[in-house]
Amino acid sequence: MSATPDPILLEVMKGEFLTIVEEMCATIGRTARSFGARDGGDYSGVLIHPNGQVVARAGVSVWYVGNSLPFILEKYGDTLRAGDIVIHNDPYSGGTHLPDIVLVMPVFDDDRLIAYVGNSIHHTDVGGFAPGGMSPKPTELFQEGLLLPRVLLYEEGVPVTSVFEIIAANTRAPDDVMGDLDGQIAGCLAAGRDVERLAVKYGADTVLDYARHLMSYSERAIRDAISSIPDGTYRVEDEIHGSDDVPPIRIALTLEVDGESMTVDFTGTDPQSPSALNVPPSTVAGNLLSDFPRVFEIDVPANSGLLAPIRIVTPEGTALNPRRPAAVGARSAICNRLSGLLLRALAQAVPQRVRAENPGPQMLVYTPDSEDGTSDGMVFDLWLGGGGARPSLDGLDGPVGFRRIPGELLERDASVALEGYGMVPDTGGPGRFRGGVSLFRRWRFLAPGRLWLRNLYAGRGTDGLLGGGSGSSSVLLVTRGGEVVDYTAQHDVQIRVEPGDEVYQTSVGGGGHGDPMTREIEHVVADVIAGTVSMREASAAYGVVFDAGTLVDLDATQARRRDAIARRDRRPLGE
Amino acid sequence: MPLPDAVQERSIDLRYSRQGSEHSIRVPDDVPLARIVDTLARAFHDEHDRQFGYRRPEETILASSVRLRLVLRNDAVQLSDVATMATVASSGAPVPVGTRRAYFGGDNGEVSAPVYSRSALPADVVVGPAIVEDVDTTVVVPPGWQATRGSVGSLVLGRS
Repeated sequence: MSATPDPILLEVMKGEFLTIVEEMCATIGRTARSFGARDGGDYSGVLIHPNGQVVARAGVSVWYVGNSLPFILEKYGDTLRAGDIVIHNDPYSGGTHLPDIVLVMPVFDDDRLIAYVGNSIHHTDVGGFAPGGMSPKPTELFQEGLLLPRVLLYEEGVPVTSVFEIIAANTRAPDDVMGDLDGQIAGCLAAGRDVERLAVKYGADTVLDYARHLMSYSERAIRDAISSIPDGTYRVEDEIHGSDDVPPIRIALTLEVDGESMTVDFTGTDPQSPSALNVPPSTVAGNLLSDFPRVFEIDVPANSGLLAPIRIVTPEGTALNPRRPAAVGARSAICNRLSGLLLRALAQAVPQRVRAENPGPQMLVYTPDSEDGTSDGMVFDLWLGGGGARPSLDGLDGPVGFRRIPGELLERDASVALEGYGMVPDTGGPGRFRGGVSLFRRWRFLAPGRLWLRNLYAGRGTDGLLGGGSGSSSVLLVTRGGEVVDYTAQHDVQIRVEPGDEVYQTSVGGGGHGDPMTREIEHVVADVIAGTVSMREASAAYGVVFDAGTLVDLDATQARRRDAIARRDRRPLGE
Repeated sequence: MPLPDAVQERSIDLRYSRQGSEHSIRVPDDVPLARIVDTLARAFHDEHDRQFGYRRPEETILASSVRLRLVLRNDAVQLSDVATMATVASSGAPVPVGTRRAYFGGDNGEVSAPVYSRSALPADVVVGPAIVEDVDTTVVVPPGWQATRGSVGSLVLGRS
């Protein structure tokens, strides 16, 4: 490897690598057929160095496509040839849960292996216990659907038709899944061509050299960020609910910062759950670090360099490193919270730099009955709540992280009517910087079918930071045969619906940051005008005094805020 | 409305059912109506294959839009009109609107460079180092270079 990279070429290569993975994702987006992939954008693509390190990534999901490579090589060694594509979804071989199907393809420059390209889509359905495959109820992997154990989907450019047939026969949504799979293959081929072109343009040695330079560059940046955190040990723990059948799962996180490296140790986390609330270890790292670079304003390529100085410990047999064949389908209830837990640990060390955590995903899966038993176009709605407030900015209102399926497309392609969709006022945690407000959707179902609802935040909000208030918990109401049933206190709802039945479902609000009594008064007024904060909340949480209509009485407001702060400061600790 | 000189370009946006994006396929003029559907379908499968590497000839193709574009030929733009507009304020020797410290490196280092407004730039030569500002661009004339006005409002830079 050349000792010092040319800074201009480094920047050019950074753009080239990113373009390859983004084009791979764009190809998937343009060819996919399911709500989740086509409209929700639930896919990702990676470019992998022959040494196994991820050079560039794009899309929503995190590292596990790259994590699959060592397991694929363990089986195939150096026998993969040009035109081979390996398919798998094994959570215990670098995968995450069965609906996430991974494809990996080697790329050659003449006879020399120069890269692997890979991608994954969160597919609509791969069979198993419940449509969508994310129910917490299964007790072992075998109940969760079709397992694809690192087999060849393409052999030297020729499709292995038996594998396609097996997949099509094992899903409730064959058109969705096979159509999306076409998109994944197209994505691999597009990325493969781009990598080949890159090798011709710059020479394979230069391409591989600069891939490693970029990983060193990212590693340097994250080492600098870690060294800006005071050395020490920071502990947090939380209970995560995702099922009403099993007790909540305790996740314990100990962050040890030592110079420019750190260890995140999950020792003390509950043993693996007899439900599907388990997270395969390959999924832990990516989710854990999804916010870290942003919080520390590390504007460098997302590649394996970011993981180099971070050791992650997940004791075997726990919910974060279960033993085969523990069920893992509902892993997103837990893994989407890991980054927030890390932020809470970091808040003990550098409270001024960290934002309140983003909430985990709410879900709705509606599977209309059909005569032939297939359920193509089943509705698969997944969204995160309002964002946690940042140290100098409000949290994002509405859905954070995922693209939400537009109502127009839902009504065009599925047997549903979307009766309402909007922001829920007063759900963002009050703070000097306010947490993002949650969203509601009101659905009416036009055909009989099965409905699964995940209500991750039953009766519980997201925490604020440095005196900021909690974001509101979620609300879940179902109207069946004209009668309203309140499922707000339940985490996992699996019911049948008939035409005319309705669901009102909200996400959860983000936590606030800092004392709400210090929020700029004009920001509170702007929230009231925008409809994200009511006048009542403006008065109760922010101390704003209105006189005759909506004019603010500044003197009275300031007096009330001074009084509120003074009263709070006098309050004994622990109250 | 009669448009005798208009060139008609017809196209149709096609996709496989439930895909999220279309390919715009040109509708040929010389294919009889009876064969047009087959011709368009074949062209769509080809285009999809070219872009994404696969075709699904057994599948239903969906048309989302039909387009007709009329192209009318215009007289060539007279670039001298642009030149006239651009030089309306010009006469006499260049007068800078200010000076700015500019770093050119090498033996030149940091110098005080005159700044000219391009709209008020006269026909005379501007000798570098100089900076010529316009509403939408900034032209740097390095030391050892000079700028002269071209025939159509352009600036021509050459070594002094």
